Amino acid sequence: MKRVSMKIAKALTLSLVLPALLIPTTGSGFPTDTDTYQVNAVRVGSFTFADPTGPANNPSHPDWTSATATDVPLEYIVFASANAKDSFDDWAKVNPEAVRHLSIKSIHDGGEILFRVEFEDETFDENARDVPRFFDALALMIPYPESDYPGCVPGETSEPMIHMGMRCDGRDEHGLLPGEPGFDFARCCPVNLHFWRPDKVEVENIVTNGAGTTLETDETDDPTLFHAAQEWSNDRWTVIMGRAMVGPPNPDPAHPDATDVGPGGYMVTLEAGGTYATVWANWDGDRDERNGSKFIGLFGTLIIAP
Amino acid sequence: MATIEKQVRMVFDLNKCIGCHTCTMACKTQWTDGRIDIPLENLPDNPEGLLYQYWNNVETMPGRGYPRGVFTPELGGGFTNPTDPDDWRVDPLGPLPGIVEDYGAPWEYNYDEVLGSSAVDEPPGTFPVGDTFAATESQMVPIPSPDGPDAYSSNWDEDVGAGKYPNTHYFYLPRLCNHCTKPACLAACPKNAIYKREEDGVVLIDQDRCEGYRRCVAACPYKKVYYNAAKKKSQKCIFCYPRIEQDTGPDNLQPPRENFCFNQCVGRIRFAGFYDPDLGPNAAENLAKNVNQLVDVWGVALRLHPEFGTAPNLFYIPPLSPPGFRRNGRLVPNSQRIPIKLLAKMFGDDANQTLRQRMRRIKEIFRILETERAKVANGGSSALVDILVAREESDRLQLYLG
Repeated sequence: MKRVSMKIAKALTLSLVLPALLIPTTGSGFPTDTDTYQVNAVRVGSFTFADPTGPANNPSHPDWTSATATDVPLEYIVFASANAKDSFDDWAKVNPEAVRHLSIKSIHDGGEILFRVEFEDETFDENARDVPRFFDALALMIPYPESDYPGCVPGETSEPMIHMGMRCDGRDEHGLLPGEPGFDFARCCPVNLHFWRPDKVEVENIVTNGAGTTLETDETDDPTLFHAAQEWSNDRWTVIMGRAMVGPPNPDPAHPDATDVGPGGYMVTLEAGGTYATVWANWDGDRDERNGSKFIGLFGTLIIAP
Repeated sequence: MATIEKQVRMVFDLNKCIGCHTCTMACKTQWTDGRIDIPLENLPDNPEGLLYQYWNNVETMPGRGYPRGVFTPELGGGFTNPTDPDDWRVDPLGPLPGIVEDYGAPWEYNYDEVLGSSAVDEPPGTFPVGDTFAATESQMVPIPSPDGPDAYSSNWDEDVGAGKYPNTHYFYLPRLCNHCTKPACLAACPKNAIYKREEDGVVLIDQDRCEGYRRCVAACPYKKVYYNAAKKKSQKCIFCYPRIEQDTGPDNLQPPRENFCFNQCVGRIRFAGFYDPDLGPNAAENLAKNVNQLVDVWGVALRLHPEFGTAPNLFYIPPLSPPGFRRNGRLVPNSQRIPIKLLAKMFGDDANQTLRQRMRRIKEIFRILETERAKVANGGSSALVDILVAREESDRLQLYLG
């Protein structure tokens, strides 16, 4: 297993970034609600990532017919400058007319879980071999559960998901809001991102604590942990993202310095019968979308069948 | 941003640049030549994606620049409010130049043919940048070779210039990263991968943090950040910091602390030194460096396109030129063939100056230069000319002064 070195977020950075991001959400077009959709992960027989004809690699496999497709609408957000420098007054622009749709199915076998995601994309952007060329990409965000990080309740109406990779209620660790006496800086809840890009052989696992503050990126060549299969035809991507439901133990003896985020080897542990808040995002490389320029959804619920 | 203890400053005397590109080749062979495997941390360590990059280049002005269209509104860059030093907003969503169309397709010297030495001619290996221009061996010409009306490459405009005969004119403009006091690239980076070193103000990109989003490329109005398509990282001039940090060693047997393009400058146009912002321009420590003499005491060096608000730390002494001709063929007394207005559109002190103020400054600089030159020509001496002549390398390359 190969892991990319850990990045520690600076407290100063957080103190600069987070208050600036806490802008009013009413009428801004930002997601302010939860449970807007439900993705039901149906339990099927067993499968393996490596089986070339199985559901992990074959979007037409019969196992997928037992799953119901969920439409997940995404809105366009430009998160233009997430640098720690100040002045975020006009950092975000939302085009309410622009909506992109993902069609998502999910199955699991108790050990692994697969997401089959379809979306329209007229261009096949599988590389970034020139300066103006960007990748198509897809990401699933799962906040760490409240039991791991008390106070981090994702997706409540009063606590909008603001940015892919962070979800803040705007309060500091004492529950104070910006401007209130004694306010320190806004708490940011760690989230777990699964990121697909067509040039990668597998889904990338990212743990982040907010804009510009990626805590650590965990890339692994362990094929039992993450998986990706993809197909682009008829102006449409079909992507199958897979992951083990439970990752390696945490703290990981191989990385004793990286013990501050999340159980299960930095992967949010998913259990059969459990429900999880999730957010999806999509980038179209042909539109120069990358990083903060993306289409992003509201919080939805992933319901994993027992 | 951290406090900068001292800021590296550069002055280029455009009256001395001969357009030989030795600086460009020094930089190219040192850092972005695909043949060289650089083991240093934080530096590009493989050849792929580097060959098209010219961290240092020399342009002929007036011209379209490098990459094509740099400094045009189409390519944009800079700050939303360039006159407010505390406003760090940038628009990092601007258009990006293409490698083949705007920078010029990558190519490599065929050293064996050029130098007759196979010892240095190691093929750079596969070069997987782009579907249509992959090279697998040393090339004397870019692949694809520039062709057609839209063809372009680095230095495509060499010696073209502007003006109608006999008043044609051009000058050379060497460029590298300005290591700005307020870098737009830094402001645009969503990963906080770009930083200014506290010890010298050099702007660097942390290659581990960089995700290759290219916000910095879009935001830099000078287009001096490059995207390495093979590594999916942005890269730029590092001001040869490993060379600068190299100790001179006992008995000065080691090379001095110099950046390579400055060291190799044939015309000796380049001056380097540090400026301590806490001490101010009148402090003896600052005045001991010739860059500060040229900028703050003599006031003969200006910034390139300061209107972008990045406060570049590379200053230029604008080029004098021969007098222009009338239609009847007679010289126009006290004229400059390179129009002052053209120069004023390029050079100035800061983002607040109007074009008219810039024109006045340039005329003032020309008066100073001509006056001081005349002193020497008449058998006298001039402290300014002494600096500009730079008889010793230590007169112009003064990073060693700390």
